[in-house]
Amino acid sequence: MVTRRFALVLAAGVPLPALLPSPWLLVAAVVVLAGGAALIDLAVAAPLTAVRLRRDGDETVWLGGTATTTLTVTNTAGRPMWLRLRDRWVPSAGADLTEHRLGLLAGEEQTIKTILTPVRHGDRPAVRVTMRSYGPLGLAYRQRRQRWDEQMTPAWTLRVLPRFPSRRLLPEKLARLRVFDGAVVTRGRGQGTEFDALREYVVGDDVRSIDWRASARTHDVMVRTWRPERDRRVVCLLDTGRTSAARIGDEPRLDAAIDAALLLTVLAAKADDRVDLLALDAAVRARVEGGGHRTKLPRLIASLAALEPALVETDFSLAANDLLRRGHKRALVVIFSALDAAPIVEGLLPMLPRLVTRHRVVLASVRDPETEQLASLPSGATADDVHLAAAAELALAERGRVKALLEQQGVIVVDEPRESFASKVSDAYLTLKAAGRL
Amino acid sequence: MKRRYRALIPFALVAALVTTTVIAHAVQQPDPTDASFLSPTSDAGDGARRLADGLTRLGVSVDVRTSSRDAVEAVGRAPATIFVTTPGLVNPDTLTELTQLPSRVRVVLVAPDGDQLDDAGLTVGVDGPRWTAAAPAPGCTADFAQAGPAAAARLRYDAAGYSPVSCYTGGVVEFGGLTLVGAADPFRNDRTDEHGNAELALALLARADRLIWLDLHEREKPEPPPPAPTEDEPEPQETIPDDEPAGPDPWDDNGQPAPPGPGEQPAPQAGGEEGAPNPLRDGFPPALWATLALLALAAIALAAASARRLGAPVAEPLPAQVRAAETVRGLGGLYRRARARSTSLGTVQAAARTRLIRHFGLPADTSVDVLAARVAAVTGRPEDEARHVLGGGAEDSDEELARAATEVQHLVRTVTGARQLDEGNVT
Repeated sequence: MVTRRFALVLAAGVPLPALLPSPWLLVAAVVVLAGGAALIDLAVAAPLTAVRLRRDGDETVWLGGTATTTLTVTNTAGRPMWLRLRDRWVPSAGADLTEHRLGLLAGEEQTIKTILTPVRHGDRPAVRVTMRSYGPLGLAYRQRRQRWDEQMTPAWTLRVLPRFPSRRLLPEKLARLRVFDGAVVTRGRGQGTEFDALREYVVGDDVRSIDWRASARTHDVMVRTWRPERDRRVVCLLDTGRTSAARIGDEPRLDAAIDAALLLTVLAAKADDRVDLLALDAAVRARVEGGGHRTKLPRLIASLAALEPALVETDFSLAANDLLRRGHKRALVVIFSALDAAPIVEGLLPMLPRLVTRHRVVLASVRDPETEQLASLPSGATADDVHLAAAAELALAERGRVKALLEQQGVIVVDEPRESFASKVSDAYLTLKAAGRL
Repeated sequence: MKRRYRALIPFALVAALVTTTVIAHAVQQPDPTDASFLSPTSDAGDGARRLADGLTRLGVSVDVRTSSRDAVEAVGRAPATIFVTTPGLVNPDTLTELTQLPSRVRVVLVAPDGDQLDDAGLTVGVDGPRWTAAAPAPGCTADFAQAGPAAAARLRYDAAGYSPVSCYTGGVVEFGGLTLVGAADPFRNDRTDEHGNAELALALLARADRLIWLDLHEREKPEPPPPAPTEDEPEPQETIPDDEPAGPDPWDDNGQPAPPGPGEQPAPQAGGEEGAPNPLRDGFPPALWATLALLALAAIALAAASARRLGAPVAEPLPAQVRAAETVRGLGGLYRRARARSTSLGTVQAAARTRLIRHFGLPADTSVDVLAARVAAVTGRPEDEARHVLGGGAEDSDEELARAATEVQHLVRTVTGARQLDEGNVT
């Protein structure tokens, strides 16, 4: 294939036929000379099959951070190579500089650094490296078909973990966990219902916890200590259906749900509970269960990272069947969804009675502040504002009715604005754990 | 990369300047096929009205002809001058005839080029054309050379074989009854005042009392050949109309009798077309066509070079996102379209009553009257007014609706003391 320089060479010959005799002969001469030079250039250009590509660098990054990947290009041909290459990633990977020019001597290798600033969470793959090998004159180049380029491209996927702003709440929640774990001495004994150990009475212990039989055996006053239950099950059920696509502030509802689920997962993992994950809309999108504590957390985070909202109605029966089918231990099921009438009343409500008898169910929904803003008339309101306010009041009333309906069924409803959402979901878990009601 | 572009800028400027100059020069050149070109009646820059007037003043009778055949036939027995302004358009046969007229007739050809002189059967060397006509000193003693320097040398002629009178460094050459002038400039209206142009033109054309001015602006077709003597049957070609641009048909030259019948008709036509000169192709020098061809090739190469991408762009599905209060806004829009003022106000009032009932801790089915009494007690407003605000009827205008709804919410705020409506919490 010819370059623009070839066209320039032809254009440079344009005045010749006008200035010298026998114009057609000159045209032929210009074309033959330029074409010959281009052919020689093409023959001298190093073959692309001699290029070896290798990729290295970061594999995961939190959303909002930057990752660095490197692409090492090696010239295995026996002649120098003038290479122009484009390292294409999906647009949401936010690659900074995709086009590079390299001059490689025979056997030389060079490294290209790409800095990625992803704009969305999930898997961000490198799509293809397109290469073009120029001749020394720059008149012609070699380039292969796209499919060949795709086969040559070393596969690489950057896993972008979702934003986790509630990370900063973690120390506070863990401190609360330690308090009722008994690890921190506050009022004598750890809260909880599970027997932990017997120890000697010290002044300040609750006299109600003195074990008289043990005291009789040991000639000393012994007290029982308790600790919270361990190895309880927590199931995070994320609804990735159409209601999760709604934007609350700047981000979809699903992102808030992922943030809260991450905090809950980390917290529950620290409290030695088992956390399972189920994400679904019309089909199951992600499922993480089983496995040890240590390996599970990264798997959970990775699965959460890949979730995306889909514009379909959520089929809660899939989740209910899943939770009821196997000899599932009693679990805390946290459903991250929205308090919208249609999906809840038609989708979730029919399953609830059976679910509630087997499990403890929490429904967590991010509240949309915009509806409440619309319901409150601004100063100098017009009739349009009143109509909007009426519609908003209807939506609020409907939300209230759904909430009442759920609470009637024994579901704990967390309906909070984005800022306090993750914190309140964790609080609900901690409260239940402290009360031994998991 | 930017540095390279910066280095290209001066070259690009020079190239643009050169291109503009060449195009401007080409546009400035007079076109012999323009009706005004050296026309005795044209006042345009490339016309020759002033020359014609000057000749009339000198007592020369100007006889304007528009075909070379007419011009040749107009030559009488008296001495005359034939002024051929566009020798390139004259039928080559007539041109030959013009050069062979008796010596009492002087033929002045304006800027004939080598091809035209060859067509006329003359072997004259031609040098040029120059970028513009030069105005050298006469350098000879001919009578017309008294004019002094004149812009006559765009083409230069070398007619050494005819022992010519050569003036203006070959710009004006005379031999036999023929005068070749190397440029049209001395005859043009806009150049008349420069150098000795006017004097030269008058001196060249006023040598006889009669001037036959060939004012020709279309290429003349070769004359139809005299009908070939037929043998038995009439030739079908005779039915071909006169305007058919058929030159001397090679079939006829061969003397081969064409086979009779209608099937034979297309062949002579095709032959005729081939023989006819293509006016567009002949209208421009081959250098122009060659340049254009090279430019087109360069453009194709540029297009081809630009067409191949360094990898196709990558597509990626966008995430699905919906505005949160979209349904609320939609419903509000429907109310507005339907002008459902009473429904809207009723909804706002019902929501206000629910809040007040919750605030006072009353049972959910409390009537408006009971609620109005409590509100009146708290706020000190008349009970009727409170009842009207919380449960009043339909409004007639948009302004009324806005006022009533604002009042409802104001009342709730006053009673509950809250700036914002409160809703929902962890249970």
